[in-house]
Amino acid sequence: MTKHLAIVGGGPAGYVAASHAAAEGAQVTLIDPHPLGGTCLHRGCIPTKTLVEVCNLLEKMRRAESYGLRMPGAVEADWPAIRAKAGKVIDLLHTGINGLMADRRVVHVQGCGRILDGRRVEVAGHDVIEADSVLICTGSSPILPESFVADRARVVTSDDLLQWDALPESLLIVGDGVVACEYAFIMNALGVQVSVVAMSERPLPFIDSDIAAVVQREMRRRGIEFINQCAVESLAAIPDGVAALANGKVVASAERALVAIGRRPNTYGMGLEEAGVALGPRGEIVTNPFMQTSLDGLYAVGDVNGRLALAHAASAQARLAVDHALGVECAPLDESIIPWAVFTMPEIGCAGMTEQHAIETGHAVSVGRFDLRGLGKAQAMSELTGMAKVVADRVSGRLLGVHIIGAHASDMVHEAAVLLRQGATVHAITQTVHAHPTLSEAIHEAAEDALGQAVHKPMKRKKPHHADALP
Amino acid sequence: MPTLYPEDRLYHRDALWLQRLEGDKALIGINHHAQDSLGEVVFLDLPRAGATIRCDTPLGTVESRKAVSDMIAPVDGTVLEVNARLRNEPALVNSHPYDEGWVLRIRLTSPEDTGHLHTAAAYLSLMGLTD
Repeated sequence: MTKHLAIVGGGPAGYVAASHAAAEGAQVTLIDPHPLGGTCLHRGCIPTKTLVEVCNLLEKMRRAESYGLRMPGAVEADWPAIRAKAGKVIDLLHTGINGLMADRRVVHVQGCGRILDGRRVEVAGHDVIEADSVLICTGSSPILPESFVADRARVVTSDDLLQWDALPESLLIVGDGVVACEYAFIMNALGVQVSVVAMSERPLPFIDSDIAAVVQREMRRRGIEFINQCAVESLAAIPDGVAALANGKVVASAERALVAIGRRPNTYGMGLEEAGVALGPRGEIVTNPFMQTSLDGLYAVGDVNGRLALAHAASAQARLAVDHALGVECAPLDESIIPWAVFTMPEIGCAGMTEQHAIETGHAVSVGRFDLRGLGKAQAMSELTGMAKVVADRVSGRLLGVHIIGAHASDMVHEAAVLLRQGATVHAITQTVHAHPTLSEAIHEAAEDALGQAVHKPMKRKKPHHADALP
Repeated sequence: MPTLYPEDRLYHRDALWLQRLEGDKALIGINHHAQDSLGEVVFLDLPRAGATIRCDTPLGTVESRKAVSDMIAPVDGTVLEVNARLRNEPALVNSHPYDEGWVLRIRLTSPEDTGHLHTAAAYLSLMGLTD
């Protein structure tokens, strides 16, 4: 008998769940008051990546002369036109999702879902939707504390920034995570004077410290001010702008402010507490490794479960939850090897453990590094900034993590993701011939370096001590 | 032809030279051998005025088209001034390593404590170089 799945929320968790469930033969009802695609498509990943691409092109055009190209006049960023470009990309992809849903005969109910129990969802203006299982995929929203709302026109979150008609002269960014850092580079490239006020010592505190050091150096190179170890308590309106206060003192000020201090799971106003769904301390829906909640039949997938705030993790969890709900054989995800992509300038791709994490978890590590500028391809592209870093277990040789910063890092990291999933050793990289000239050669060289000798690095004259080198 | 290793400087074994100025002040820069090995310098990531530097530890990085290298402080000190011209003209380090391409002006923490630095002749001998 055909199973019926009700899915609340149509972002990268919800629409992927709908598509996958329909392909598995289920009847699917997808409930979302907004156009499908979620934060990722409309306010997050996709528009910001469009902006990053525009900024990368802008920077290259500004360096045209160094490529031997003459360009009469200066290139200028046209914010309304850039926004329109991002809007076109959103529209195209949104149409694509709608087409996919129609192709799979997914019924899109436009409204807010209220969870009655693990098999029933109420939507205003509709009959109660009854299903065999219900998936909650409502995502998350930017946190904006009351003390930060000095002036709603001047203080924004990533939800509102793309609605600006014009760019400010200066921007204060509160936060040190992905959103804060990506917008710092974007706005700087577009000519805005940027100050980042961060709690941590370095930008992106969760990534490998060697990679974060490159990000910080790039910020200094570009004139992005990074004020570290500073806990902003409030934002205050000042003439012509906003000031950030810490310990009662002004630590930075600018024409406008972006608050990017994290996201909160969207679990309010859905009847979850009344239905008896267990919530965690941050309001997230508590799930087991198959994404089941405390209510029979009810699953929670994506940002709303607080496990990993990544669109691709949400999509992977969605497939898993659907398989589990439909009785298809499935296994929990290894969340520790899900890759990360951060679109700073240059971009970052990471998979697996950082060196610090590997040491903290008791590994004796062997680390290899390779600077991208040592590659012919990087020189040909004039994309010199960046490095690849390989972290391996010194005893077993097992690959633990790969961290890359540089042009196309987010595309290159998947070689590492596959190997980590297979539990491969670092030799799997060195014994795989990498094409020349490519940026991926950096991963090969870093792996060789982890083994004691990279071909395109100054030779290590002393033979590595046996305890420091991999077998 | 001007000497590649002026005798009025002291040389740290890594890459930086030091020139004593009046009192406890000194200039720091990158020596000829280091700039020549690096090739065209494209960016220097330097501490701000007021920062302290510690002998034998990185004070910043120098980036060329070929490499990114730590700059190892030759002495303990406090940064008084950063050569602002290097921001837009980093290659001054290559073209004028001992004058216009100076990197930091510092106050020495222990002005008497420079015995670990080498004279030009001793540095050349140490590195197996000829002037």
